[in-house]
Amino acid sequence: MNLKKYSSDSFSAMFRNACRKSCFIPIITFVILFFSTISNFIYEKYTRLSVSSGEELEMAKNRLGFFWNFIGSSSEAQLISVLFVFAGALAAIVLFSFVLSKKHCNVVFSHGLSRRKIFLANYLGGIIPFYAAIIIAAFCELLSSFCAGFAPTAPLIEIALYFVLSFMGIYTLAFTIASTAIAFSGNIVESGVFTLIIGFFPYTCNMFFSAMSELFTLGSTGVYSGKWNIFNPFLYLLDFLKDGEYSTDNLENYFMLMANKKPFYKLAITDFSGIITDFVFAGIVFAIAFLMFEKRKNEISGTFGRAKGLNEVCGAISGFNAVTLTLYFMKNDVINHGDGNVLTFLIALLSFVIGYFIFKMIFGHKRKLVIKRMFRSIPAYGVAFAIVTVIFSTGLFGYSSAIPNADEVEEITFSVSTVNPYSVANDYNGIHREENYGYAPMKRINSVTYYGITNILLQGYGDTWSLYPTFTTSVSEEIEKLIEIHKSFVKSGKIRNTASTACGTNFEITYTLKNGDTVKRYYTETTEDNAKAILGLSDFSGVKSAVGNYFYEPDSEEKEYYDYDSASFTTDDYFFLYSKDLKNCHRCDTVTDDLKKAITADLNAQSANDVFFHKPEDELGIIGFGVPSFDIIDEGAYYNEYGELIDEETGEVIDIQTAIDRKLVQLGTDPDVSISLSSMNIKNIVLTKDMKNTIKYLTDKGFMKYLNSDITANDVQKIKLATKSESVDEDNSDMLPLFSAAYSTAADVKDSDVRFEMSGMEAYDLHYFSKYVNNEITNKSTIQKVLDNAFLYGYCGNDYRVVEVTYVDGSIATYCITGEVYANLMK
Amino acid sequence: MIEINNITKTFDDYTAIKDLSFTVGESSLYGLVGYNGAGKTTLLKIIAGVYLPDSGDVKLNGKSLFKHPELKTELFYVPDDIYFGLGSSMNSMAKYYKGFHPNFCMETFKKLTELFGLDPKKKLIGFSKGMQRQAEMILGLSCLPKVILLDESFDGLDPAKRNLTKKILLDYMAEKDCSIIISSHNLHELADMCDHIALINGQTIAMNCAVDDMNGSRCKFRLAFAQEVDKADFDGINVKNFKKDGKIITFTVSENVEEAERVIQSLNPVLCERFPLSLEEIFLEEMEDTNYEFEKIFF
Repeated sequence: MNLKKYSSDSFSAMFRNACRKSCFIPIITFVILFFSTISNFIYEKYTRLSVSSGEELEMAKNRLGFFWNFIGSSSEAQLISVLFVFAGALAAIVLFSFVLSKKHCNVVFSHGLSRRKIFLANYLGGIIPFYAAIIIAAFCELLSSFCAGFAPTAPLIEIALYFVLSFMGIYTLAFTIASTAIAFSGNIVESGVFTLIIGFFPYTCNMFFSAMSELFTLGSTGVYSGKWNIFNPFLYLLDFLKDGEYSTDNLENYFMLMANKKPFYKLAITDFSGIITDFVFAGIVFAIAFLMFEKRKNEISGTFGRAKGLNEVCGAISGFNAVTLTLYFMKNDVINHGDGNVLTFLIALLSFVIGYFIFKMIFGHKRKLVIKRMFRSIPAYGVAFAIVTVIFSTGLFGYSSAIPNADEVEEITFSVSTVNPYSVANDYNGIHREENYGYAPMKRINSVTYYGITNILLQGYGDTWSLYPTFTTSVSEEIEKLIEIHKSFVKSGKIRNTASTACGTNFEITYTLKNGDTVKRYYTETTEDNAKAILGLSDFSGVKSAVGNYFYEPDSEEKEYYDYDSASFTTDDYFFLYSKDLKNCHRCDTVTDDLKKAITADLNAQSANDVFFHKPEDELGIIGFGVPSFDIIDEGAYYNEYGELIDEETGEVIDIQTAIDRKLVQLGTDPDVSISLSSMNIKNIVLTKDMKNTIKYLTDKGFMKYLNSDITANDVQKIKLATKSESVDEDNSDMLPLFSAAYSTAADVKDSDVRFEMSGMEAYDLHYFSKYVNNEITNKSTIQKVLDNAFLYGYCGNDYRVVEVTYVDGSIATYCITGEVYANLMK
Repeated sequence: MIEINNITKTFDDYTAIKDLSFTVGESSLYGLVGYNGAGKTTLLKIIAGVYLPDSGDVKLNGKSLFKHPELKTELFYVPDDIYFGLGSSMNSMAKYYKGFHPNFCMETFKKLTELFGLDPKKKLIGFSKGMQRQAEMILGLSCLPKVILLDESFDGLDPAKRNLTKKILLDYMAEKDCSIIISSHNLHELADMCDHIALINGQTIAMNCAVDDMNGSRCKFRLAFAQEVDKADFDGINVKNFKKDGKIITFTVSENVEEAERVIQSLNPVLCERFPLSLEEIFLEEMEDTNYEFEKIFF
């Protein structure tokens, strides 16, 4: 027997030994999967298929199937993924913990085979039996599906392949990372910590990539939302079903063949990206471990902090994690307001040093030398991070500034914070954006970004959800117009929050290209010119068609699904008219079809210019629809246990419809009902002189008189003026360029004050003008000029002035004047 | 034959072994002696391939053990702290070692188990420390290795088993032309068994010679003189452990014994006795260089 043969025998002996040691894991896995197979078979054959017959049975056989149905939903898929991660880690502990014991090392490393072969034999001993268990279990499942009577359809084979590869991938990666961490550690505590640090590395990479993109890259959404699952190597299973085109959470749908025999869902290469990531990542880690194991120093076994190589790697990752967390949490506060790249770099470097230092103090061998050694290693890491920063500063080598050509674009989906307010999809009404008395601030609210720890762990990518309505267009002229606006945004470059010329806006644009790719960009601030250009998007066909649905009343199911769609608005309600100064309000009549037609026609006829840039003198007042939220129970009434409204005094049952009517009459006759202006349940439209149809309707019905205003400077106690950013002590970049007037009666103000005081909420804008704005005008002539030039709704530039008017009767209103008017007043 | 060539091993900043070399021939039992922490175990672990040296090589029959780890199928290392698999018996360990040592002989295993009176089916965890050592020795010898590395392997054995083990080892060595390297603090035992002794004095080998040569080159003198004689009168002789008790002088000489005797005779001693040095005395002589002033430890 020659030496080669000896070596081969030793290798197979070690492999067999490894298989023996870890075999309980594949056996348990197989038993679980096989149990599922048996239960599936019994259910499918004797329950589901048995209830069908004839043609129906044949169709079911050909169109359906089953495969490991216990993973029916994504939550169950995530659970089994976690179990496979634990299985991989457990196998690694069983097979590689020998390196943590000096005694055990004496035995294993004195065998007649190289260290690499020792590593390989144990590695394969942990992998191959598991693979075998999965493949055999999958084969049994497929066989049982066919035996139950289902046809061997392509989707069934595909999902089998998908699951088998997924299980293998997740297990392999967990096993490889844990094996590597153990193989190069000194004790089990280090092994565990190092495993976690390496295992979470893709997730922190995701956060880092997103934070850096948002900080340095123009148009970044701040989250990775690509189709390639590269940041979530463990819990990606079934994501394609949950978030796919068909938005189904039911595995069974996947097996369905449509009537034309084509699969309901066709797996794309991106659906396999999680699996590919698993094997690529595992391959890289394995290759490094396999090569480096030759040099493992067994004297570190059983010690703490002496695993130098892995210690350094994990120290660097810990520093990186500290950088990531710092950037992630500070990006919107400190860094973005600072002096740009240099400050960001310095903060990041400091974070790295802190993270690295803490790690080294815990896991380092000679703690006294940590600082000394850091002077050697930190510059290298600093240079590396500087390179990464430069790469991101270039917009990922220009990628972030690249805009597709119009001929490549299939369609564009866009969302802006200043879209036509009369769109039914808009969850806020045209006049008020917040329920508050007086001034409704124009503060920009970011589109909601889901990027919590749950998303990081379960998805590996974030979701951006636009707070504002989203529209899609495939009209070539509109596509070109959007591209033109987008180019203008790119040309304006990254605008710092602190820039005085900045203008707050949320502009999200997603290109769907003809080749199926998507390009998504998101901007939160831009120039005033761009902000004005964006208002023009209200003329787009999609936005206009939404205007057409203004009076569309969603059914109850839709209301539940689209809960932001002013669900309480019903066209059976009354409409209200407000005078131009907003002081007079009158409940007019129920909304008739004629009125709906008139208003719809007028809104459709209005251009963006008419909506946002009309002259103050063109405004007539406001028409409001819907019923404000109110409690129909007056004082002295209560509901009994049967849901009946009972008069407290008489004990008699009150008819609810009667109570509603009585309340409506009260509202209609009470001049103080204007609080309804700020109700979320009201949709208000500014009436302008160009709205001929509506004016005719109101004139014919004799309601135009309610728009008259007889307010003069003599009715005004005082006025105060501030720019939109001064009005709430924010930067221009935080303020939307869209003004909405407001009005509160003296009673409203009192109520509001009491309400805020009782709730304990800190309303920064409550009486903000009175408290902090000094620019007060008392001259009656000037006040009159302000009133004459004030408008209720429209574009509001950085130099425009918000005017808070306190009337003699204690009511408060906010209007707006242009910068030009203000300059003339100050002359 | 196993050659250890210029082995150096450091642990962080501490050098355990420095440029250490020696050769162990076939049918040779090589004893490693040294104080605690001298580097004996480190050396054995390097030979076994458990530790990687910083430099140097170990060759078995002219081939590097590091480049050809498969050669270690002919080597068996019995460490100081023995490891057996969880819940394993001698039988299961025999099966385990059989996979890594192609020459493993079940016949030998059975005979040795019977000879030592151990139950091969019993769980090893239930064995005493001495029994576990016997078990490990049995398993090692059953592999029929060409090289056996024994690290303090007689510790914990009762005198009878100790003698038995020694005898078996010597028989095995003679029959299989095996090279054995054994480290121990029991110097009498090593002197009885080994044909070569190496004394590791921290990092390097202070002494490396055949046991037979040891007596010729080192000896102890017991002298008495009519006149006053002092250490300075023995100038030219490498005198160690010099002690004077009245008229009686004792000291050891580790080289040029004949020359030393000539110098002594020239001083006309009234008493001159020459004794061979025991291994323990040689060990202590070599350790003398520490010159520690013990009286200063306690006040």
